[in-house]
Amino acid sequence: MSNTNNTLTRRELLTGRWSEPVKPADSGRFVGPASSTPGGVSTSERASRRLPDCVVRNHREDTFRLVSDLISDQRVILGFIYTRCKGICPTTTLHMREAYRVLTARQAAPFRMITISVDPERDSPDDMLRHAAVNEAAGFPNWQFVVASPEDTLAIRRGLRLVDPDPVRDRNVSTHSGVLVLGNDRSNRWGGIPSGAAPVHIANTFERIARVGTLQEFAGFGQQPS
Amino acid sequence: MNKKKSTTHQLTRRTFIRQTGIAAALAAGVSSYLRLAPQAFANAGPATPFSFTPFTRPLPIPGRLAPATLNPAPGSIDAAVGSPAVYHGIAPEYNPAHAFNKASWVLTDPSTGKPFAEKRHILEYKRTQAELIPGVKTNLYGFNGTVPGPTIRARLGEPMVVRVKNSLADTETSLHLHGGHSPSHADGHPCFYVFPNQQRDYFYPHVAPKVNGKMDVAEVPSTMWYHDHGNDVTAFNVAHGLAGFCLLTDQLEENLIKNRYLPDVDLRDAAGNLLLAADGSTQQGRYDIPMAFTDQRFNADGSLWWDPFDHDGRIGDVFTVNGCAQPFLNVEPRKYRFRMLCASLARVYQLRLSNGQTMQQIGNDSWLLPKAIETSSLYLNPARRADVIIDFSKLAGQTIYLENIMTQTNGRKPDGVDPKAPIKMVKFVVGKTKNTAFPDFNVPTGVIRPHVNITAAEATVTRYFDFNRSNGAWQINGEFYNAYRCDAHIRKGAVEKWVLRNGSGGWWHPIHIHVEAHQVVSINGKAPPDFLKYKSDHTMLEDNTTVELLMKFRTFDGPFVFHCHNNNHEDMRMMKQMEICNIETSGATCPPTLNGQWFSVPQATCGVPTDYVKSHPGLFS
Ligand SMILES: [Cu+2]
Repeated sequence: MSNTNNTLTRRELLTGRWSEPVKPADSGRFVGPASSTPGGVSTSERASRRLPDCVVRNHREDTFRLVSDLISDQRVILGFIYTRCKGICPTTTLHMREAYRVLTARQAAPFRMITISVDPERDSPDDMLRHAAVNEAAGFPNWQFVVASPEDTLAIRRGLRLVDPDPVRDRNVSTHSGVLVLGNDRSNRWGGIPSGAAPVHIANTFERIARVGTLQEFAGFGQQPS
Repeated sequence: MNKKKSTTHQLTRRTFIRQTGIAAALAAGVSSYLRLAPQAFANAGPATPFSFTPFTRPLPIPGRLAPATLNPAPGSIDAAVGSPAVYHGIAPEYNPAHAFNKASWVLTDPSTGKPFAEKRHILEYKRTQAELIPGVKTNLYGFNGTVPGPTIRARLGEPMVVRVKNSLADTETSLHLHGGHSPSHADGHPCFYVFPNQQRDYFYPHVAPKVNGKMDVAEVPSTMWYHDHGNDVTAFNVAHGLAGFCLLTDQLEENLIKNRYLPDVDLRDAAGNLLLAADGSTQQGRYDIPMAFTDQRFNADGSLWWDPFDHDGRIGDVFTVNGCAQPFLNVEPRKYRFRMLCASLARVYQLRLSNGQTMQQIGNDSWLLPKAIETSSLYLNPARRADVIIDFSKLAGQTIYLENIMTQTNGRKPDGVDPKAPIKMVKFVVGKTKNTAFPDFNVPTGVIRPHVNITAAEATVTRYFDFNRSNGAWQINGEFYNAYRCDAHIRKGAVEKWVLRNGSGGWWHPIHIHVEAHQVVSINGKAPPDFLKYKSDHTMLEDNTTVELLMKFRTFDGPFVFHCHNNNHEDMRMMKQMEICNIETSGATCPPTLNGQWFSVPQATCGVPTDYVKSHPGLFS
C-alpha cells in the first residue's frame, strides 16, 4: 500500500483508491458553547496568537490563513512532517490518520488536523498530496497538509516551541520534532503528545485536553473566579 | 563573553567548593554548572511587565488544614465508589477486613494512652485570586482557596482521611502526597482522578514500612508536600498554586523537640499547651517556618504567563516564597528551623546567606538526616526539600538575605552558579531581643534520625532506565508513558537496584519515584554528596550522568508511577508505571513476566466505577 506511483494524476490522487473520503465531521465551523469572554482585568491572549497568521497552501492547492482560517476557535491537532522523511514522518501521519478514525467513530465533536511541512523549500503542495495519498490520508475533509514559506515555517515552529536548542541540529530537518500539538483554541487549552504514541492514546489525550468528548469545556483561565 | 564569564565561574567555583560540602560532593555534576546556554535560546518568555519594591510584605505562613466532619462517613456505603457523595470512594486498604489490617498500624497517643483516633479533613480545589506581586491581582488555583495550600499536620500512626473535592470546572485532578508512603488509591497516580465537582476520600494511614513487626523509625518522613498530579495538567496546576506542605512527627521528632534539639512544630504557649486557631486547627510553630519557592512570570493583565507549547520547562522572572514575591521575615536573634521546598517546575536554586554564614542542613526531602551537615549553600532542585537550621543569634539588629546564586535562563538546565549575581529571595530582619519565654534550641550533634543502609548485595533485581529526548519529546527506555503498560513489575518485599541514565548533554531531569524512599548509591560511579547519601524521594539526573540507587518496596500493592519532576517533561510523558505485587497473597497471578507487558484495561482507574471507565476509555491513558 505504501508504494508511490508518480504517474497518478492529482485528480486520481484526490479521488482514487489512495484516498478515503469520510463523512465530514463538521461544516468547518466550531459548534459549541459560546466563548467565555474574559472578564475583569484579564486579557490573556490565546496561545494561537503567538503563531503567524500566514498564508499556507494545502495539498489541494487551496490557500488559507493559518490562524484565522484553520485554527481560530477550533479544536486542532497539528503534526509536522517533510515528504522525503524516512524517519518518524510516516508514523506521524499514520498515527494521525488512525486517531482521526478513532475520533470519527466515537462521534467526537468537530475537530481539524493540520500537517505542516518542516521542509518548505523542497516540499510542494503536490509532494504533500503524494505524502497524504500514500498514507491514505488525502481524502479527509478536515485535514489539511500545508506548506508555508520558509520564513513563516520557522515562525510557526518558533511559536510552537518546536525548535531544537542546538542551531545545527535545528537546521537538520531529519531530527525535527515528532510532537503533535493538540488543543482547543476557544478554551485556550493546549497540550502535546509524541506522534509515536499509540493512535488511540493520541485520540484520548485530544479528547481530554481539547474536550472533544462529552466532558465540559475548559473555561478560559483568564476569567475572574466566580 | 561566555568565555569571560566561565573564567569568573571557575575562580569562584574553587572558593565555592572549598566552602561547601555540597559542591565538593556534587563534583560529578559541578562541571555542568559552568556551561552557559546559547544566548539565542535563553528567552523563556517576555519579561514580567511589573516592577515593585521588594521586601515590603512579611513572609506569609500557610495556615493549617482544619479538622472537619465528613458526612457521609468515609468507607460507608454512601461514600463508596460511584456514590453521588464521594464518587471516587476510598482506598480498599480502609476496609478493616483488607489484608493491610489498618488497625494494626495505629499507634498509641502518648497524651491519652489510647490509640490515635482518625483525623478528618476537607481539601477543595478551587479558583482563587492572590497578590503574588503587591497590587497585582493574579488568578490562581488554590487548595481551599489559599496559595500555598494549608499545611497538613500529621502524626505517625494516626490515620487520616482527607476528602478532596474538585471544584475546578476545567480539569480532572489527582492529589499526590509527595514523599509519603500511602495506598495506591490515595497516592495521586495521574489517572486516579478527582473529576470536576466530584470527591475522593484520600486515606493516609501515615505509616512507615515495618521491620520485624514494628514501623521502622529510620523511614519516618518529616517534611512532605502535596501537589496536583493530574495527567497532562500537572505543570499548569502546580504553577498556578496547587501545592502545600504536610508536616509529620513521630516519637523521635517529638523527643528532639522536647529535649530542645528542634523547635516546636506547632504553636504553643510557654507552658507547652497547643494554641489552636478559631477553626480548631493547630498553627505553625514560631521558630519552624515552611518556605515554598516558586518562580513566576506574569502577563500585563496580572495573570500568569503560561506557554502551553513549552515542553522544556517553565522559568519565571519573579521569585515568590509562600505565594509572596520577595518577602521579609522578622526574626529574633536565635535559631530557626526552615522547611525549604522548591515548588518550581524547572528552576534549580543554590541558596546561601548574604553574610556568608553557614547553615545546618538536618533533612533532605521528606526525611531528617542522621546528622546535621554544615553548609554554606543549599542545592534545591524541583521537588526537593531542605530542612535547615539558621542561627541568627549573633546578628541582633542586623539584616541579611537568603539569596539564590544559580542562574537559569531556560527549562533545560541551569546555566551555572554565579556568586557575583545573587538574587535576593527573603530578607531576614533580625530583632534586638529574643522572647525568653521560649528558650533557644541546640543544633543536634548526635544522631538525628538513624539511617539503615541498604546494601547492593540485598538487591535481587536490577533495572536500567534511560532518560532521553527523541524528536522533541521525552522518553524513558525509548517509550512514552502509557497507563496500559506495566513498565516494572515489582514483588513486594524485594530490594531493587535501579540505574538511571541520562546520556544527553543538554538536559537535566529530577526523577521522582513514588511510594518508597530510595538510597542514592553513586553518581557517575562516585559517592553522592553527604546530604544525598541517605533517603530521597527524587534524584536529580544531570546531563551525562548515571545514578545508581537502591530501594525496598513494602506495605502497599498496586500501580504507582515514577517520572521526571520537571512537570513539563512529566506532562510530555516522561513517566513510567510500576505495579507492586504481593507474592504472598497473589501467588501465581504475580509473575515477573509482566515487565513491559500490556494490561487489557489501564491499571490506573482506581476509584472510578468500571462502567465509567468502559464508556470513557480516553480518560485513562
Ligand atoms: Cu525531565
